[in-house]
Amino acid sequence: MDFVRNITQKTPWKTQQQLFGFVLVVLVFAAMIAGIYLNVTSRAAVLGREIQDLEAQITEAKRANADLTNQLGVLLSYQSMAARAEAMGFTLAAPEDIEYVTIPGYAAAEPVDLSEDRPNDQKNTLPDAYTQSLWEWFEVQLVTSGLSGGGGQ
Amino acid sequence: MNYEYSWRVKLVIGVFAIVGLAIPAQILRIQNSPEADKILDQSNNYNWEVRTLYPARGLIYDRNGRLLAGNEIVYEVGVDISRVANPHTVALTLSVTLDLDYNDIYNTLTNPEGQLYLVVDDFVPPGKVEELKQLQDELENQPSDWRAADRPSLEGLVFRPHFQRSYPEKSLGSNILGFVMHDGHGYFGVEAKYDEQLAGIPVTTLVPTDPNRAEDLPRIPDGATLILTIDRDIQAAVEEILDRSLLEHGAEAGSIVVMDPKTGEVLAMASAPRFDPNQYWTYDDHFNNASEFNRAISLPYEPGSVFKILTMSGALDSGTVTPSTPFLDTGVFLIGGVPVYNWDDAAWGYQDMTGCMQHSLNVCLAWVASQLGPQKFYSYARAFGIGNPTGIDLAGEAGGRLKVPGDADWYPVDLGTNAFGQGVAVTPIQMVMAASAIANDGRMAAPHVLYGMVQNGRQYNSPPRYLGTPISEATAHTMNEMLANSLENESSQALVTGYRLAGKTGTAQIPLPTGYYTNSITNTSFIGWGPVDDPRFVVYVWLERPTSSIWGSEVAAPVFAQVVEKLVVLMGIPPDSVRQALAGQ
Repeated sequence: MDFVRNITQKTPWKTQQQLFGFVLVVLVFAAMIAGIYLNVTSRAAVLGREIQDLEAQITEAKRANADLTNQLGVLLSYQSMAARAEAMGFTLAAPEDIEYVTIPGYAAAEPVDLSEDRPNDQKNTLPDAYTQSLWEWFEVQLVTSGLSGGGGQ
Repeated sequence: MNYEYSWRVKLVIGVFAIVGLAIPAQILRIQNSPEADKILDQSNNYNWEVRTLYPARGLIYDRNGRLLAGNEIVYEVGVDISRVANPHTVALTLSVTLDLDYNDIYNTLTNPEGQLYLVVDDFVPPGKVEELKQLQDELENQPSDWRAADRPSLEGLVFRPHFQRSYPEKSLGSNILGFVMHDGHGYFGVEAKYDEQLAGIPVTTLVPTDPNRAEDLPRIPDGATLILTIDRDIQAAVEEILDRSLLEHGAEAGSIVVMDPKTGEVLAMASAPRFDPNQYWTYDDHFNNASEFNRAISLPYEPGSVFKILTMSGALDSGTVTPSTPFLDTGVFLIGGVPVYNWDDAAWGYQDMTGCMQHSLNVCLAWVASQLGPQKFYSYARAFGIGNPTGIDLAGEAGGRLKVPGDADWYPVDLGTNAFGQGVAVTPIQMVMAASAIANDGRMAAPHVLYGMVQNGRQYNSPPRYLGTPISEATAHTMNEMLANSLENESSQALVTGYRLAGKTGTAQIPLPTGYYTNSITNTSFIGWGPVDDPRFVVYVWLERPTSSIWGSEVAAPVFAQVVEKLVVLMGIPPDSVRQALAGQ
């Protein structure tokens, strides 16, 4: 403390210089924090908007898919298929036209099975990075690094 | 000089310091003010919007995966009034393209009275919307000299896509499917019966408008997809036969049902007249009342002699008669003090029970019922499901009417007339279900049209249900033989070469409004199944008021044969000789 007092008493310009330097350091630090914050926030906002766009695209794609399924149904409808078959020269078979042959292992067709093997739609597919705050991200990083550090070799 | 600058610098610093301190001070003041919560609530209102997400209505397929009901895109056409640049162009274009009233639109656009958005039309097909969009683009891309105050513009037009129900097969199976109106609800048939499952569950959720808070929208599952037991090809063939038969025989209306007697799966159910559910607003042009939509389940009628198979089954099962029990037909039988006559008013002399069925003798069957007694007769009728709805999974099923002793309008003569299907009202599906017991070793299968339901990617199939065994297996076999022999002995027009079939014709007089019956107008029916040794189908034919002939044997029996000829091809059923030879290998 004596050293400090001596300096300030002897050289006031040094005091101003140090104060200026301190303020500058604080300002630079604040600017860095603000810069990082703005960067993260803007990226989050852009990604958020992309998510909203993707949601809209998913809705649109599902709608288009359903419409195409319906159009396919129209193209494959009985009337349509019968007309095409007739135009191609096919005729309906009568019982006397049919010859039955034995095919070993043949199994008659079963009704359709429309089961799908697909991931659970209810699951939230959005990565955590899209919903975490900066603070939460720091927390996770700290916990993760702590865990990995404690793992030993 | 230094001093001069010094006070100025201090002033500037002071001002900046005051402003710099005032801002956080004001922030703190606002945050702690009494209005802080209110302001926070208001800001939260802008952060989120309440949105109801409607699942797409489930699809309907036939048993082979052919689409019977789907969803197609249509549009709501609206106007964002604040963005409209030229109300005249908008009103004129919409009135011409969508056939709307110009004045209505123009007046609303020029005098909105606080209205921000105007819905001008809904369920607009994509073609019309494309036309409007193209016009909108063309006007927006006009040369710059067009950009005057009164330049033509379609700015403000909004197109919102959504689904409407679509039936790719048009009228095919429409009596089974029903339809969905613009309110989104199902009416008649499967659409009404499974409306909740098909519609799914709408979810109302808060959706963040702030992109920083963007998150996955909840994945709401679409409505359940249904797979029906119906076979589209059989349905088409049966409808074609029915329509042709109506013309050929001058019948007013009709119905044909095809069911698998072992499982109760309805393979086809045709009803005429029917309509295209894509144009459900024409309903009134086709039907006088709701029971006509699907005559096979909703329109009870007096079936006539087809009912004799139930009377005879009960008598055989109870041991009252055997196929060889003799009966002397004198042409008249008195029951409850009222004489009953044969269809031709003739006496057929000595007959056995097979002969009684073969010649469809009312006198004989009235006698059989009298021997059976009312208690047993009605007990068997109930066991066959007569008088109650079958419980088929289609909306609007009727239960018919079976008068029983004790009812105010039941008389002893009813026992005799009921025995040959008069004075009792049934629906075709009831008769099909009852006949399934005879065709299926005594076990009566519950008719149904739902084969499976797909929800969240998993398919749940409906197992067959059985509604009891009204008759024993032995009785069922005996009855099968009697009916097959009857058809063969009378060289029925219902016979199909190569296949042994069992069946019975029905010709029913129609009661007039006066309560009396007339011989000149009839309902003609036929019920049959086959192949007799391994029945794969039960077919019921009902043609109403034919003009070519009043007899079921001449009208309905040949229609049955036509249906069977199609069925054996479409179902891959080889002729009996081939099948038995293959089974013997």
